[in-house]
Formats: sequence, C-alpha cells, structure tokens
Amino acid sequence: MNLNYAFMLEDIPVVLSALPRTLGLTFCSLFFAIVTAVLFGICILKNIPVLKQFLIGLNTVIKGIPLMVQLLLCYYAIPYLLRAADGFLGYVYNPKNPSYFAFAVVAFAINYGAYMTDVVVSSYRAVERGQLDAAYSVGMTAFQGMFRIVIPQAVVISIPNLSNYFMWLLKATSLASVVNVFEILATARMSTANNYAILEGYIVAALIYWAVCVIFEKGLNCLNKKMSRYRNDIVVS
Amino acid sequence: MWQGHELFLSSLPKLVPYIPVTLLCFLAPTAVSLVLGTLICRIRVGRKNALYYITSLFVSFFRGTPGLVQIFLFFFGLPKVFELFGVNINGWDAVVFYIIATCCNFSSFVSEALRGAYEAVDKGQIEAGYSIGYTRFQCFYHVIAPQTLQIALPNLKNLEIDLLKGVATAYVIGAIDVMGAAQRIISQHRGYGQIWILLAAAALYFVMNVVIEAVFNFLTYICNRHERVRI
Amino acid sequence: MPMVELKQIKKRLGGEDVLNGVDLSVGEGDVVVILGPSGSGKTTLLRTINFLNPADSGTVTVGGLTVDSAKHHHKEVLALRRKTGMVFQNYGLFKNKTVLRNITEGLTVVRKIKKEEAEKRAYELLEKVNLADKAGAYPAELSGGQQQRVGICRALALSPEVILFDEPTSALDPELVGEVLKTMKAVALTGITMIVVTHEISFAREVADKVVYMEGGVIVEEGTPREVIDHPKDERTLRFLRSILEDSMDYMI
Repeated sequence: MNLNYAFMLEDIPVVLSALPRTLGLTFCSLFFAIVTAVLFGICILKNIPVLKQFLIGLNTVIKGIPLMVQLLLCYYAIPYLLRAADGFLGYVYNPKNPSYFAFAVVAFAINYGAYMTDVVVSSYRAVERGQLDAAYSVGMTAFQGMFRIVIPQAVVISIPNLSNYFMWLLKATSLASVVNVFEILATARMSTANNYAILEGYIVAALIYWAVCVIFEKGLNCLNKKMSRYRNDIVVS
Repeated sequence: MWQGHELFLSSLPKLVPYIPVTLLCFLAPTAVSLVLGTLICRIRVGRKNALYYITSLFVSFFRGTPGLVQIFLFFFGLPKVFELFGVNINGWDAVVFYIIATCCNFSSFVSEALRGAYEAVDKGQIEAGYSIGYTRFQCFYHVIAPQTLQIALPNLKNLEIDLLKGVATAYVIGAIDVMGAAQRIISQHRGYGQIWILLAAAALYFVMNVVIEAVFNFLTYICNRHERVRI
Repeated sequence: MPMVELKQIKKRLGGEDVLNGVDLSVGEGDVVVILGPSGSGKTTLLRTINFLNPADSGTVTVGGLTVDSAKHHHKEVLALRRKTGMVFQNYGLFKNKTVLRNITEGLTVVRKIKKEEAEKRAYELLEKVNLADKAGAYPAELSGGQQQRVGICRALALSPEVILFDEPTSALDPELVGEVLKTMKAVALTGITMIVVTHEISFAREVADKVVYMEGGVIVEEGTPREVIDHPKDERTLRFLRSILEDSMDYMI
C-alpha cells in the first residue's frame, strides 16, 4: 500500500510526546470519578431520602446519554458557568485561556463516576454483614470495623471492575481530541497538517494506543492475579 | 444561555428524522457481530492454529485501540486498500465506513463476552449432554449455546448500550446521524445555543437507550425463566 | 453476684414477639447451654447480650456493667462488648486477614497490646488447638472445623469475662463437629463463663452446669442437665427432646 513509512517513523516520537497528556487525563478523570462514585455511593448506601432517589435517577440519565454529548455539553456549558461565577469568592474568569483539559476531566469524571457508583455500592454490599458483627464481637468501634474490616474487603472486591473501567477510560480519553485537548489523537492529526499524510498519522496513533493498552492490561492482569487469592477468600464463603 | 428552551423544542423535530440512521448504525453491527463474534469466539476457544493467532491479534487490536481512532483508520484507510484492487470507494457515505469499523470493533467485544461466558458454563453440563448420546452439534445447540447466551446476556446488554451511545462519535467523519444533524444545526446557528441543541440530541439518545434496555431486560427475563421456577 | 444477668428482655421483629420477657442469670464460671427449636429466639437472645441485635427493652448486665436495652449509649455498648467474646455459626473470621491477624486484631486494635505480645498470645492459643502451622493461612484455606477453632481462639485471646457461642457446630460437616466440641470442652475446663446455643444434647449433658429450654420467646424450663434433659417437667421440652432423639435414631439406621 502506498504509505509514507518514513514519515510514520518520524511521527512516532511526535505523537508519543502527547502520551503524558493522555495518561494525565486518564488518571485525573479516574481520581475524580472515584471521588464522585464514593460520595454518591455513600449517599445511596446510607439511604438518605430524596438524595438517594435523586442520585439514582441522575446516574440513569448520565448513563443513558453518549459520552461524546456530555463532553460537548461540558465544553460549551462550563464557560457559561464560570462566567456566572466571575467575582464569586475572588474568582476571576479569564475567557482568553479556558482550560479544555479541566473541562474534559469534568465530563469524564461525571460519566465514569456514575458507572463506578454501581461498583462502590455492589462491592460494599458484597461484604458479608457477619464481618461487621465479628468486628463488634472483638470490641471494635463502628469506625474501626468499617475501616479495618469492611472497606478493605470491599476495595479488593471492586478491583477487577475498576480495572475494566480504567481500560475503558484510557481509550475514551481520545474523545477529548474533539474539544481541543491535545492528547494522542489530536496531536497525531495536527502532526499531519503539513503533508496530508493523514492516514499515517492515525496509524501511528493507533499503534501507540495499542501498545499502551496492552501494557496496562498485562499489568492489571498481574495485579488481579495477585489479588485473587485474597479475593477468593473474601467472596467465596 | 438560559433562554434557549424554544431552540430545544424546535430542534427536536429536525433531529427525529435521523433516528433511523442512528438505529442502522446500531443494528447493522449488532447483526454482523452476533455472527462474526460467535465465529471468532469459536476459533479462540479451540486449538491454537494460525487462525487462532490471527483472530487473537484482531481482537487485541480492536479492543486495545479507541473506537474513534478505528473510525478514522477505516475512513482514510479503506479507500486506499480498495485502490489496490482498482476500486474507487471515495463516494461511499461516511455511515458505511462507520458501520464497517464498528462491526470489527464490536465483533471483538462480543467474541470476548461470549468466550468468558463459554468458559463459565459448567463443564459437567456438556458431559451430561454427551452422556445421553448427543452429537457434538446437538450438544452445542441444546446445552452450550443457550447456557453461554444466558451467562453472556448481562455483558452483551452493556455492550449494546455502549454501541448505541457510540454512534454519537460517527459525526467526526461526517456521518449524519442524530448527533451529526445536531452538529449541523449548531453550525447553522453560528455557535448560538449549542447547549440546547445538544440537549435535544441527548434526549433522543436517552429515549433510544431506554427502549434498548427494556428489550434486553425482556430477553434476560425470558432466558432466566427456568431459574425462577426453582425458587 | 451473677456474671451475666438478663432482666425482662423483650424484642419484636417484623410484627412478631421474638423475645417475650426473658430473665436469665449466669453465675461466674458457669457453662449455660440454651436449647430450643429453631425460631424459639435463642440466637436472638444471645445477640441481645452483646447488642449485635439490641433488645427493645430490658437490661443486660455483664461483669457488673448494666446497660438498658431501651436507651443504650454506644460507649456503654462498646464497653460491654469488650467484656464478651463471641463465636459465630458461620465462623465470622475476618476474610481479609490471616489466622494470626484474626486473633491479634482485637488485641492490638482494641486492647492496644504490642504486636509481639499479641502474636505470642495468639501462638499459645493456636498451639492448644493444634493450628500453629496454619497461622499464615487465610480463613478460606481452612476447613470449617479449623476455622471454628480459630474463631474460638480469637474469642479467648481477648480474655473476655464471658464467651457467647452461637450454634458453633451447626454449619459444620458431621465429621468435623467432634473436634470443635472437644475444643469447647477444653475451654469450659478453664473455668471461663460460657453461654452456648446449640443442638448438641450430649455436649449439654456432659459439660453444662445449667440447661435452659426456650420456646416461643420465653424460657420454658431451666435447671441442671439431669433435671432438664433426663427428667423434663414441661410437655414442650419433652416433645423437643424426643424429636431430636428420633432424628439421631434415623441417622443410626
């Protein structure tokens, strides 16, 4: 096939230079998604009336709308919100230099937060009620029982699901290329602007994504295998 | 920004005619992937021959790269491949490229979901099938296939929902589904009221999503009938 | 003064009276076995003692500390739980901790004892039940009988004033029941106060200082094993004992 192979080789380091941004976007989004999920999960598990129903409804809506639409909504709507917040608590809105990266993080955190809420709730519920009783029986306080016995078990139970969502998120960050975040895909496209070797640019991007995904997948599989002795103990009874 | 709700209402009827395009982009890969995914799954649970390694590479690539990248690859790459055979496909609609790319992507995910489910089927069930004299085909048809499908169904449901929502990315290569139409209206308004137009698109996707979810819940209900009787 | 004293314990669950004014007094060093058909409220009663399922009303006294079920403060409950140990029907070992950690957890976290000291104590106890070699294993790697013996060690490690046994052998395969009962007998010989909910009549006859028969949320009969098991006065006790006896006859056939 008629491809510019020399350019592809040249292009690899250029596109690779955007890898930190893709990973940064992934980990930032993951962090805020987990924070969101834990907060939502606590409200649902604590059975806080109204708030619980509201959050369940909100999650259904978030999960029912394409991520791309949410991303564009954040991209368009957040500047309005920031402008409205101008002057509030000394915040100064700067329309010249919007942080598209942060907008994308907000969109991913909301979307994946909704999915991970289910993980938080189901993992917590997967820990047997008897474990907390046992903690009480040796004289632990509710706080000690929660943080020493129940939550560590819930975390271990949630890890396979979380690693799945991590892989999805890693790939989903490519969507941020449509909202001016120069991660791998956008960088690849831009690098071909002068020589029309568009396909070559996308091939390079694909190969880099593939390599990164395979590496992370192997790493997470390793982690999961290590944890599985532990997990069997917790889940099988 | 806050006075745009009439824009929301006025863009809804303009987006509704594109629902069939979205559904086509959803149903075509679904149909193809049920066949292709099953085939790949069959190869990947079998002996490790050349076909095994080829399909493994195929699955690894399509699961290991973003769908968005794959769409671009097919949109720009497929015409070049066809050029080798002297066929010009530049005139094809972007929707076709989206569907082809998505068929490959989705088949990979479906094959993995099926493979996971197949491995979860109680092997004693298969032995039981042979023990009453089933042929290999009978065993597949009466024992393996229904049980695999039942186990895979929750996963398949999530994949299908993702597939539907993924159609919203097709506009990046110029395919005009609901999202593409919304983008077109946005550009006609020169950037005014994007949020309301997008919300109209979001509402339509949400409704489609609810329908698909209901269909799958019904399927799950049917597949799990025999479990409930026991309780 | 009795070690454990329950006064007028009442509890409703799902619109039904599970406990209907139970009074029970257990002297120091006594082994009390509570018998009764399933649904008689005996497990519920046991769990009201350490407030895992607090009663609606009535008072619980353990080792001189009296807590009113109707208005208990969480600090009182905690103090009371620290005077008791419990052995669970489904073992209740912490699944994310090794055998050793299961035993030392209460000592280091609750009693603030140094780790080395706690481990020394844990090994001593594990030696006694022949499980010292399993110290590094996770609960799921042990048989039910082994898990339950660890559960007993965990309760003993805290040197509680009373240990509550909630049907400790009913989740076990029949061939594993013996090893756990043997351990329980050894514990009884150390002179610690025990309250045991069980269906093991032979254990009650051999080890108990006092047998309590419960049915319908009240104590029907209590006394020495000889009085309650061999010469029951109440019709209901007799019927229950006969049904259990017939069950074991079925086994023999």
